[in-house]
Amino acid sequence: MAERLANRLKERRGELGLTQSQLAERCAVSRKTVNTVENGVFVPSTLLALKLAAALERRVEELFWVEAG
Amino acid sequence: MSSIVDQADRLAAKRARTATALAIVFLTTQGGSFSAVKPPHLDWPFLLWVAMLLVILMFGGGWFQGEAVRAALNDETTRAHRRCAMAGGFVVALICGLFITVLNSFAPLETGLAVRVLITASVSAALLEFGKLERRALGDG
Repeated sequence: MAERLANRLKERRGELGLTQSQLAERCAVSRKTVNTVENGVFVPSTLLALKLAAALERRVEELFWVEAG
Repeated sequence: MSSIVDQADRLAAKRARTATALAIVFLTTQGGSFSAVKPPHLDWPFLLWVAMLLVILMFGGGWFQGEAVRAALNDETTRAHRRCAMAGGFVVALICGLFITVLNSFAPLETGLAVRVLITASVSAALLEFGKLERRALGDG
């Protein structure tokens, strides 16, 4: 069974009133990285997941979880 | 003044378009000149073409930008796309090599021509894949 990394980045980003660009700026990455992670196209490294969690003021496991396909 | 992210985005979009356009130009110009390869002859334009395309593919541009823009321009998605594109180019090189091996058993090919076909196909494929992945990632989600 295929598994995928689901996330609630977009939802949390919306709660904080941040754009993708602003979140990207906080994590020192490009907007396309935020975009692809949000859409589940790209699985982030542990380092990036931790940076995103810190920028969104949440724990990593609150933002990312494994979803059965 | 635009932010680092905006600058990196603009440069990434430009790089993706450039990679695709250069791959198409390279493929069409080199593909149309295979019959003109005459050994022994060091084809400097071809070598320069390949060197330039490999530099674009491997180092990704932004050389005249600040460190922060360069870092955002070559962040982890770009590096992943680059790895994926290189792997795609390698697969195309293998397929092309197999095709040349089979073809060679029917009509012997000049080594220089065979290598040129292989390099043209693999470098073009890698650049096209990189451009495609980057353009797709830059799309709004």
